Amino acid sequence: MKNNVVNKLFYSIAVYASISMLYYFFTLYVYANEKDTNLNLVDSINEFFYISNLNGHHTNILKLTFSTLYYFFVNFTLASLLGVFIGTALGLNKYTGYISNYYINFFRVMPSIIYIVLFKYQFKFTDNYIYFVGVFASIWPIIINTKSGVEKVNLVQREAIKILNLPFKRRLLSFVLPEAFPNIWDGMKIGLGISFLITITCEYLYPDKLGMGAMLKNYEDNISPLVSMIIILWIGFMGIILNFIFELFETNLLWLRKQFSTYEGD
Amino acid sequence: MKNKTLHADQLCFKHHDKRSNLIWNNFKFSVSLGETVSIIGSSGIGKTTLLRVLSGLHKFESGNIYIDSSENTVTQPKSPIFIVFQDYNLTLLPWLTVKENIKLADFKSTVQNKITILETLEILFGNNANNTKILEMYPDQLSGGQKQRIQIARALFSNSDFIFFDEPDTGVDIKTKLSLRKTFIDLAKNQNKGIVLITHDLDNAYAISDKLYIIHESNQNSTNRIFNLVEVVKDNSMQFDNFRKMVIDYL
Repeated sequence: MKNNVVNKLFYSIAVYASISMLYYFFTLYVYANEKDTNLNLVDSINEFFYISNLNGHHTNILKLTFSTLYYFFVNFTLASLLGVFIGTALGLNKYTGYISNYYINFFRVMPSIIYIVLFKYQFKFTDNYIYFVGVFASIWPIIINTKSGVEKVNLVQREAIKILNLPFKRRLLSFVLPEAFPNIWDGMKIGLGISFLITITCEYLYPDKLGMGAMLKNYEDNISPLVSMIIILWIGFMGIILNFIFELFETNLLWLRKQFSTYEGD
Repeated sequence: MKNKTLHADQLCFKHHDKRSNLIWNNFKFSVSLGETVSIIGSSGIGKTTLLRVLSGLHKFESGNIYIDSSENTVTQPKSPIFIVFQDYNLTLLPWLTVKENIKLADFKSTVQNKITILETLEILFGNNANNTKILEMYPDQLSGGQKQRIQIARALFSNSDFIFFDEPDTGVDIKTKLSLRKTFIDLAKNQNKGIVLITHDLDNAYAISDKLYIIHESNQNSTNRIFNLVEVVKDNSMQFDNFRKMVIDYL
């Protein structure tokens, strides 16, 4: 299994590196005739690692990356916890499950980026705004998948568990959630992508905060194509790493299902 | 040894499919502790539904199902009845070890001095040094026959008096089938359990049952199909060929 993981990481980085090369030459080609544009790669990399001007700050890439990742993790964790809780509650009862379908589908079909505009009138651009929009946009696939996972538990399994006379909490933890877990996981994977996208987009649109999205906006405005390119590739690299961490867990879904199951509670 | 009997009187239940109403009418059934009873019938005739009705999992229209006295009606999950389902891949949870799977039955049992998990395996696998290894294994690592036994171990650990088996001999090889046959006899005679088996295997039913029930279609018209239950008490003087001929005539 270790070899598989290493191979996967190696191939991901190799593909990523080749795309980066193509992107680099593409940028050089597009901006070749632009005057007053710095196309020096070494200067751009230096600028990228030590940002000289972002909202009047001198800062470095790690600070900005951690800032974005912090927002992302809060968004994603809240969306996952709330989504699994709501999805399970809806899926356990066939009537609530049926009725909620219409509401969930309404929000689900909305392009998630709409929520950024939708809530900007309710909130000023604050941390709460990023959290609210991030959670609201990424929670729907988690709710839907959790609900369908809980609903799909078949009759024989339900009866087998009923006969065992398990208390509700144990039935939920030992059986329902682990059984629905592959579905929940798929929902979380979609939620992960949306949460990352929304965090970066929020920063990009309202660059008062420090973050990778804000940095991209800043260098785009200053017409620094190579630095912008490096930032985009860096954001892509973060995405690959997040996806890779998720896949690492995915290789041992049985272990994750067991964690639900053997959780004894308070 | 305690003695209990599960009774079903004047039992009637219905099911509607696309073409007609299926009515199981006026069923009378009983099984006592220490007794093995088989239910035989064609495919799709309602054997599994009957098992679910008898165990208290499925609603019925009229009649009564009770243990010993008519006040003590059967309801799940409180009644001391355990079903060993046909598809062990669904009922054994793959993310739990064998030990954890058996231990789930702990909530069913209300008995003080209960049997231990290892003792259940000793009954089913013999006094074998591998038993402790099996306990730490996951269901996916076991053969079909072993999984079937783990389900039975769960039933034993629950201290249920009556154990119902839904086609336990489906998809197992002849050696496992014979070994399971011994297990059923042991459960009834030595562990004093009431065993109810649904089976298509007449040979098996004849060999181990004290009593047999045959579900057969007694009446059919354009809207209703009516099924009856016939009791056959095994007469030791009856040869297997005669028994088989009688069952086939009914079916």
